[in-house]
Amino acid sequence: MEKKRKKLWVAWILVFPVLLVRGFTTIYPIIMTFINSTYDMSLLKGSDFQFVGFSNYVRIFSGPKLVTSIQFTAIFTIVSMAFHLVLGIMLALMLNMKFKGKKFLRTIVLIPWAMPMVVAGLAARWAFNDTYGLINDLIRRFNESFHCDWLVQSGTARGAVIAVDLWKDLPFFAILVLAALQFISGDIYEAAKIDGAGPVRAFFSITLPNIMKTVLSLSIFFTMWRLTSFDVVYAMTSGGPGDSTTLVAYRIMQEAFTNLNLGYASAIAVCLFLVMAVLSTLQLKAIQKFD
Amino acid sequence: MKRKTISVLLMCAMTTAMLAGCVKPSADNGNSEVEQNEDSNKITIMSQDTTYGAAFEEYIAKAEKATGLEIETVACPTNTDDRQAKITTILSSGDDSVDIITINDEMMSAFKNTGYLEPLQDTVMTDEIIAQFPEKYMKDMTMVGENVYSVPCFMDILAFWVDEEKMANAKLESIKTKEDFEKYVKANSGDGKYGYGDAWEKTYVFNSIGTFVNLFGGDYYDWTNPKTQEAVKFMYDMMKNGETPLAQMADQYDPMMQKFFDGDYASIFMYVGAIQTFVDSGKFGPDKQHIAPMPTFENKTAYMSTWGYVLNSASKNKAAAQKFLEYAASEQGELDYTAMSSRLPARSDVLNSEELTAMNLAGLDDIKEYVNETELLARPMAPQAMEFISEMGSLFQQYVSDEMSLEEFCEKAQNSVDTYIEE
Repeated sequence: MEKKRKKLWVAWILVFPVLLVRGFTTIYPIIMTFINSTYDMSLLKGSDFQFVGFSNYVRIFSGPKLVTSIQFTAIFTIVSMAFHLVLGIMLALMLNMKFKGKKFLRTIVLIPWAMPMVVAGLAARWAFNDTYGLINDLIRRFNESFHCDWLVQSGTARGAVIAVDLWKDLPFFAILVLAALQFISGDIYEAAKIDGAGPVRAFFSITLPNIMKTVLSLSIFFTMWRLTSFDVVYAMTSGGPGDSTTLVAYRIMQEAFTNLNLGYASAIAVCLFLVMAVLSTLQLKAIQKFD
Repeated sequence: MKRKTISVLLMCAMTTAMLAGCVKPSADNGNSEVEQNEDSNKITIMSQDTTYGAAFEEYIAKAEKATGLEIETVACPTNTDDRQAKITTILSSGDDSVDIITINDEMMSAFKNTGYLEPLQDTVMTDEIIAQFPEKYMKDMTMVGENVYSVPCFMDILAFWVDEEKMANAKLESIKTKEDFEKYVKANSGDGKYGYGDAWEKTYVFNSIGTFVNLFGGDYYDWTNPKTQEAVKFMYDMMKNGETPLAQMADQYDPMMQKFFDGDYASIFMYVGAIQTFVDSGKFGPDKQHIAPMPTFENKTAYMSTWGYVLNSASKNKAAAQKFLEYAASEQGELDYTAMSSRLPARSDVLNSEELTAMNLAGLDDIKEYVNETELLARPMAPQAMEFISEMGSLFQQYVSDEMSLEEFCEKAQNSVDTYIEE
């Protein structure tokens, strides 16, 4: 009993510094963000900050710029995740096949993911340029008269941002799904084949149920990453044209560090935090169904 | 049970320790009551000019020799947003680690009303000195009432650039009027080429909007003014007529200049501070691409901008810092700065001096003509400068993309002015 108590105290003593650091670097900033969100904190208005209660939150839903950001963030997350799921599983199935050069392909497919998003975004800014970009250059090899200012029109700019995000992260999603595929025993497929199941039936009845838990778990992380995406917009479009590609995380950065409206930025951050908490909870409940 | 109790107690202790810091948020910026280091001869300057490398070190050495000070330098972040955030944090928190900072017009308009900066009119920027700087610009940009907050280190002008080789297309020898401008632009548009090029990215386009508004005799702060509206419609019509591309909505100055060098544009508005880039392109010259006098529409105006030295009100070395600022504002200080950066001096007497002429700066005569013949104005700024600039730019982009009408644009632009300027 004495030994057990000693071990427990030693454990707490060893863990306590980490808890302190975690508290200082995570819990304290979160609490301060909540507090700051109730103040009119603008560094350009001087240092006397007024308590405004929930005014910053009301401002969120009355400001057209932020409504645009919320709309695009929703579109970006839903569309990107939909493609991640469909194309990611397809890519994983392809990488799971037996063919020559499989290992080489599995390696090079991860190259976009290994690149920093800021680098990819800056390169994409030029790649989608009508005059100098490689995208239009490639298309013009098939259609000489093709012209498209991708990053000038709202619709195409949004599409380009989603495309770059997919290009960057899809391989990583696919590799993780591939890992789950490796755990499915080949015997099951053989048995199904004997019973007369075709490839499509085998996919829906064997493959998908077996990887569903992994896919849902990955979906939590990938959805959170989409919701908090900032660097692709920062590097590629600076939120434009207009505000059409401004994601919520980019808006928080603009309000906090460009416009120096710390209170308002904190309120947006708190709302994003709450949305992420709700989504994570829903997805965790969905995963539990597969246990 | 005991374990749970201990765990909860530890969590509470940790949270309480964190919450102990959770009082009303405040920024503790320094005020005039800051205790001064008597007889200090050491100062710290935060400057964006550290990128000049050895030339900057030489400039600092000259400053140290002229003032007898020991000067430590700190680099500014090169990214605009990061720079503004860092400088704002230093000033608003009362950080005294930096005495003097170089800031641009955007930051100047943000900080001059906040109490973060020390007024200089009694010490450095006396009436005699300030008379040497462009009067209207100084009044609009660096002053609040009688208080002067900045010592401009260099001046930049948003000038009109043309491609001399394309003048023949319009059968013109020079562009003096609005009609000449329209003729030149029209004659050089077509087959993927444009008579006028610009940077319509949302944080850059306000420079050109303001330039055209001033040329038309409008008022950037009054969007009910027909001349203001006419200016913006003029820009829109150029785009609709194929005389300037919509694609430049994605462009900042670098792509705009590249397209000018490539011959895609026949004219642009660009800051003269970038003249070395033009020289390096190999396309600069009186018979090639060069600065042209601003054409006279209803007015003959151009924007000027500066970077200037400001004194942190939290500084504990104000007396020493003022010595440096006196040097920076002096003729010799301005010449030394120009020698380092090849940027134009902000003082008009230095601009017209023989010493400056002897430096053989590219385009100097053209620039002198701007200073002497063109009304130089400060750009329209708000305390929340970047927010105002970005909002106006975003509205303009929506207007030229036909996402809103001219009337709607002007209404929203006026709302924006009322929001940010009155605040």
